[in-house]
Amino acid sequence: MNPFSSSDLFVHFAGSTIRFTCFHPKVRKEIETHFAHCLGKNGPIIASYKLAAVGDDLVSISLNGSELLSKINLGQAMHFLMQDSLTRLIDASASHLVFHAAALAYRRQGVILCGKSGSGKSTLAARLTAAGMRYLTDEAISLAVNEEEIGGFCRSIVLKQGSAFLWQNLTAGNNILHLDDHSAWVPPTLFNPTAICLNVMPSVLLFPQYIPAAPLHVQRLTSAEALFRLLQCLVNARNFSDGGMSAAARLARGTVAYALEYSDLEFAAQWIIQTASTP
Amino acid sequence: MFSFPVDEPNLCPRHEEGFQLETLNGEIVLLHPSRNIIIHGSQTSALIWQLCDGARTVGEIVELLSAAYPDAAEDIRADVPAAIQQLIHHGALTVK
Repeated sequence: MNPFSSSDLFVHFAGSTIRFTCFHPKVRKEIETHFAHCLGKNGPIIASYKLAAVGDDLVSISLNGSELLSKINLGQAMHFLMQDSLTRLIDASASHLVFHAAALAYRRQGVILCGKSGSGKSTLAARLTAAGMRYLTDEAISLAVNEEEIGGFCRSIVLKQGSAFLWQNLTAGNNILHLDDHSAWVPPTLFNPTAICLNVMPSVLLFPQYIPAAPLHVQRLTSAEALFRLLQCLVNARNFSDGGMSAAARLARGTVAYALEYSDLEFAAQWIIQTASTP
Repeated sequence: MFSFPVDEPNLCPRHEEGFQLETLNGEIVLLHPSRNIIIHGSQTSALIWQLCDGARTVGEIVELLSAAYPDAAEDIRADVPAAIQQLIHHGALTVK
């Protein structure tokens, strides 16, 4: 007997898979749109969400058979699913280090943008994708403990209200999901139809920080400084006996690292593209 | 917060358990996974960390480094206790 139904969608990241059983056509469409490039099974299923329609516009969510949320709107449902499913995928991963970071690729050079919320990762990722770089993620990268390449949680780019200028003139805007907090989920292919990159060899490690009115300031980091900062962005260290130290150190050794302070998005994007394009 | 008497040369600092060490081009990064402590140290801190074995006193560490780097002996007398104090402050060293 096939344990999966045609209502099932699967989203994978960092060696684990989440199942969404969708009985709500609008939720299904949003999952297919905003998780488009991480759909499919890859690794064990570690959680199963069931999404049911309540009337025409409301959603109920259950997890592994237990009801979690009922009668929430579509935006609330997607916001919850994005956060909760990613948290579960990260927590389950003992084969991949996961860093809070955006990542892009220029030809075969991977550029990692490490930083906490508010550092400007997503805005930079959107601008760099529009400028021709390929998109891996704006939120989380994975590094298998015995591999060199990184992968990304290749969801839609989540842009806050202050970055609305980036998507307001895009065509096919009906694929953009608008949430109650005025953030927007923008499929990366709206910025660049050939943008998607699933894996890349990392070569540049950046720690951007948006600072209002600050001039562009770049500081080259030693490998130890890069590792120190990188470990602060490692979100599943507890899953590894050495805290992820050896694999993170390999990443720090194999990349050129910079701290980047900026306020002008264009200057920062130009500098990143120039740096990524330098062999 | 524990205050380390920087002018006490007879204390023997030793590593706290559970720290992972990585050395990159002479600098060190220390990670304590379960306590979520991350420390970056200079080349000097790396040397001091290696010498803090629970047997050597602070005074002996100062003398060892002063003998190895005689031109910097004056700085070493000030810097070693300060660096040890920093490592204690971050929870990476303890003293007996």
